Order: sequence, then C-alpha cells, then structure tokens
Amino acid sequence: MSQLLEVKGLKKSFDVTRGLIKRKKQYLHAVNDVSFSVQKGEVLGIVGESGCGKSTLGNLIIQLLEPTEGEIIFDGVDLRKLPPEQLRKKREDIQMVFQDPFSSLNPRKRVFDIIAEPLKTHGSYNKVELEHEVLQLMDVVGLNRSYLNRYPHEFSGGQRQRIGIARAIALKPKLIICDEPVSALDVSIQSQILNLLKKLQKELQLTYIFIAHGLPAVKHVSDRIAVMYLGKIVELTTKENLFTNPMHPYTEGLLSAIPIPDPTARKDERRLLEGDIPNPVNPPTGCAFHTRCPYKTELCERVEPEFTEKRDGHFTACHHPLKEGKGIISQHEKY
Amino acid sequence: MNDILLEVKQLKTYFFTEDGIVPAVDDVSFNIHKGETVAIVGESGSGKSVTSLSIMRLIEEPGKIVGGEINFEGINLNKVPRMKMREIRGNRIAMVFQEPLTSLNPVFTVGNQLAESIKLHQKKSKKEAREIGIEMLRKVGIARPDKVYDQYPHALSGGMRQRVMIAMALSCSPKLLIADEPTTALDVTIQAQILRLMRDLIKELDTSILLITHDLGVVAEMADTVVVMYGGQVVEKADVFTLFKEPKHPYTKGLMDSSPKIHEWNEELVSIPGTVPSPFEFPIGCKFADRCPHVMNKCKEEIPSLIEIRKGQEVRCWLHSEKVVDLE
Repeated sequence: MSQLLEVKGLKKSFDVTRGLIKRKKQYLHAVNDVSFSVQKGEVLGIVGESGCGKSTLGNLIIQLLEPTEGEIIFDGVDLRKLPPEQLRKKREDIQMVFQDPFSSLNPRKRVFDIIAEPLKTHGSYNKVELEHEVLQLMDVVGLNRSYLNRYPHEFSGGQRQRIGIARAIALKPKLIICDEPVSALDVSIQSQILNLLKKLQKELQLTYIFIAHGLPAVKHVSDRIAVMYLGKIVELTTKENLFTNPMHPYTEGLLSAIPIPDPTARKDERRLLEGDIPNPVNPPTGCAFHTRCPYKTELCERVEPEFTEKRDGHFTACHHPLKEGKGIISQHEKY
Repeated sequence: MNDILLEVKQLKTYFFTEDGIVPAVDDVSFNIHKGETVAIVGESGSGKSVTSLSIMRLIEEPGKIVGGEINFEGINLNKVPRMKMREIRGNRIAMVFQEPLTSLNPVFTVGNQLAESIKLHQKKSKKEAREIGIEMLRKVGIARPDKVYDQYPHALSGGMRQRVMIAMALSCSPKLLIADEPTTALDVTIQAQILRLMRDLIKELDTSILLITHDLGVVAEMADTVVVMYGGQVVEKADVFTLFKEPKHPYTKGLMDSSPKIHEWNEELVSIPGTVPSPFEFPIGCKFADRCPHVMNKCKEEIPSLIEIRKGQEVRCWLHSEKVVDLE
C-alpha cells in the first residue's frame, strides 16, 4: 500500500477573545499538533467526544478551514503550498459526506442537479452523458431511478444520505471524508448506510477518513482508529488492537461506557470515567486527560506525554500505558 | 412488584391534519409496576414519544387522545380535569426530555427553575425551596451545588444540564419518571454517568421509570420490561431477558441485528430493508409487511393482534399466532 495522505504537526486555533478591551488574546486550540498518515484503500476512523476537534480536522484536510500551522501532504503535494487554481483541481480528489442530510442538500434543487453539480463543475459532459452518469450513480448507491426529478424534502434521512454519497463519489475521488454520516439516522437505516459505504469502499477502492463520536459505527468500517481528546490524538492503532489491547485510559473509558445490547452483560461495577470534558480554551496542564484519568500520577499533571509508537504500529500519548488485554473484546476471540 | 402503578389500556392518539388522520398511537396497552423500569423502543415515527406525551396529557392540537384509558394510581388521567392534571404533572409524574438545552429556560437561573415546582407542589417558602433544591443538585452529583443553583443554564455543560433536569424532575419525589431519550444528546462517557445516576436514584426514591429510547444498548442496561413499537402499535412486549434471548417479531429481530455489536467481531451488519413509511403510506395489514423478510399474503390483508405466546411475552405477528411450548 502506498501513502495517500500525510498530516504533519497540524494545528488550528480560533480566536475566542471576548470583550471590548482585548488585553489578552484567548485561543481555542481545536486541533493541536496532530500527525498521522492514511494509506491508499484504507479506512481511518477518527473518534472522540464533542469538542475534541475531530470535525475541525476533517474540515482542515478538505481545505474548508485554513490551518494555523502544519502540513497536509495529499498525493505527494502539500496542499497548503499549491496555488489556488491547482488546489481547485486537486480538490476533485477529496470529497465529503456530511452529517446532516437535511441541511447539506439544497432544498431547491432536484436530485439530478445535486448529483450532477460536481460533474458539471469539474468534468466535461454533454447532456446525455450527464444523465447517464447520474443514473448510474443512483444505481450504485441504491436510489430508484424514478427519483431523478424529485426534491430533497420528498426523501427520508437515509435516502438523503444516499444522495449525499452519490454526490461525493461522482468524481471518483481518491479520498472521502465522512463526517458523522450516520449519526442523524435511525438504527435500522444506520446499518444500511454503513453497509453501503463499506461496499463502495471495497468496490471502488476508495480511501475514507471516517469521523464519528461513537466507536460502534467506526468499528464497523475502519481498518485503523485514531482516538482524539481535546484537540490531540491520544491513541492510534488497528481496530483489532484498539478493542482488545487499548493503551490509553481514555480509550478504555470510551469502550466501557458503551451500553452493550445484552442484558446478561450488565455490569454495575464497571469503571466509568468521572467528570466532564474540560474547557478547551483553558485545557489542563500536563496530560490534558489527567483530570479524569483513574491512573494519573504527579508526572501526568506536570509533563505532557509524547505521542509515540509503544508497540508495533500502536501509537499513544500516555505516561502509563495500559497492559495488554484491557479491551472489551478478549484476545482469544476470533477476528 | 405486583402493584400496578400505571395502566395504559388501548390508548389511541390521533392527529387530525389537513392531509388526513394520522393514528400516531393506535391501540397501545402496557403496565408499569411500582419500582419497575419499562422501556419503549422504536424508531422515529413509531409513536413512542406521543405515547409518553399522552400519559402526561401534553398532546396539543391537531392531536387528540381519541380512546383508551390511562390509569395512574387508580385515576383515569384521560378523564381528569385540567387543574387536577396540573397537580399530578411535575409532582406525581415527572418528565425528563431529550434536549437539555431547549428544555431549560435560558433567562432564569437553575435555582429559579428548580424551586418553581418545589414551591408549587410542596408549598414551601423560597428559603426552604432553596435548601431542597441545593440538596437535589448534590444528589444528582453536581459539585458545588450552591454555586450552580445561582447560575444560568448556558454556563453548564450538556451533562450538567441533564443532571439539573433530573434533579428538577425528582425534586417532588414523583412515583413515575418519564424519560424521553434522556441521554441521546450526550457524549458516551457522560451518557454512562447519567444512566448510572438514574439507576441509583430510582432505587433510592422507589420511582418507576418509563424510558423512551431508540438505543437497544440503553434498554439492555436499564429496563426490566420492554415494549417494542412500530407504526404506532406495540409489536412485541416481554421482559428484557426474554426479549434479547428470544425476540419473536421480525422487526425486533431486525432491530437487534442492525445495531452494531461493539463486543464482538462481525463483518456485515444485517439491516432492515426499506424505511419507515410516511404515516399515510402504511400497509393495510401488518404495518411491517413491506419490510418484513417473512411476509405472507395474510400479512398484507389483515392486522395481526397482540397475542401472549408465553407468560410475559406478547407478539403481534402472523408467524406467532399460537402459543409456543416451552421445552424447559
């Protein structure tokens, strides 16, 4: 596998200074020194709770937001150094599927116009070819061809998300960023969309960055998973490793907080993370997680741990990484 | 556990819209015993929220309860005059809503809103109400409750707001707490905290819960009895262990198969084909007929009735129209 995307030391801060007399500037470091890479054909899941910076990260990669610092090397070139015209061309190759299928589709456009828009902007098709292409895309995502001239309000959430996916794959992009693509949908529809995304990824050899707040959805589609907390990646490893041998206490907490749909597995004694997520404008010193960490020591309060490779391909930022076998799936269970 | 606290009998709530009549809740019956947690599970449009609002008598035009009984502590709430209902609502039956930001008034302090029901229902003075209010905030695990009491909702995080909502709901020691998707808007680590808090508090206060949710994980964690709704009807009803071990209705099975299993490896998620039809497009027979993998001709023509197939398990499905024989 070759590398498709590399993110190096990426930072994004927002100025959140308030009041008329701006004596001291205040910044919110939404994404704070994040580095990772994505291989061709891989699905990288990014999870974290609200305010961890996962959506900002997605928006930075697709150039909807201007990074404060860092490099985004996509397909061999640093996107930040490209002149506008070339960047526009390059952006054909990165597409996005949004969370809310209700606000991400223009209500005044028909399905045909929505799916055809990227094709018109970036490609050169005549009318017949365009319609043929759109109809094919509708087949691929499982939309009935007869819906071609309908408007978004006539569709359910799941069908709208299919329209959004058709639009995203129209230009055969190299990378698709899925930002919470199923969290606004009903359970029975979520699995339809997850299965569709997975099928498309296999058939069209797509690469995804799959952003979600919950591990259940991410687990289903991802090869590797990055866990974010307060603007930083705290753990990054394969899906199997993350669920069987998590190293960061936050990952352990996230895993054990998920309610398991099996009443016989009710665990009253399980350890839950205490407290709230700290204010990102004023994050804790040292390790940002130390205020909620059950294993914290004096070192954690003082020194920020570095994000390093602790085992083969298993990165974490923690002074006291967990021993093996702390996950919710036993190592002996067959994958 | 044998004392019935709430009995919902053949409840029918219809919405009379310009486009036609929508039977949002159509012949729904279930009981809640003292100290029991009953969960209603269903997707959007299943009628689960309308059921809970009907119990609270909070259905507004064009909706109307057109039939059935809601017996709470021996009184039919459907027949109770408006003023009497106000005494029950917030006092004997309390409610926690999904969205903690919109269900708190942004222009009043937490304490102001918390004391309101205490003053009204318990006839306490302002000072006494403050003491009770602060004590409630402490009970729901808020650090520095006396400070939070004087704060405005915007200064609190989502989890804190939901704790305040729970404090408010439990401040008059209600017999029944209706929780409509109480953790859906929260992060997963906060959700776990809130669920544990609710479980601890109801044990302490001996409150029954009607939990409305779409998340089977939350159901498995919290419920004693589960009511599965689809298209305004109860399709299956059983105790939580039976339901998860032997779901009988194809919709219940589909719902279980399609939820991601976080604690095991699986490649393909099974999904229920199609979507919930619009209220005017439900099939004439079984409402699930269009999406059911086992659909028969009969299903398209006639609505099956809810049948008790074994003690404690009821199913509305033509596949299960006879009693099963337990092999135990």
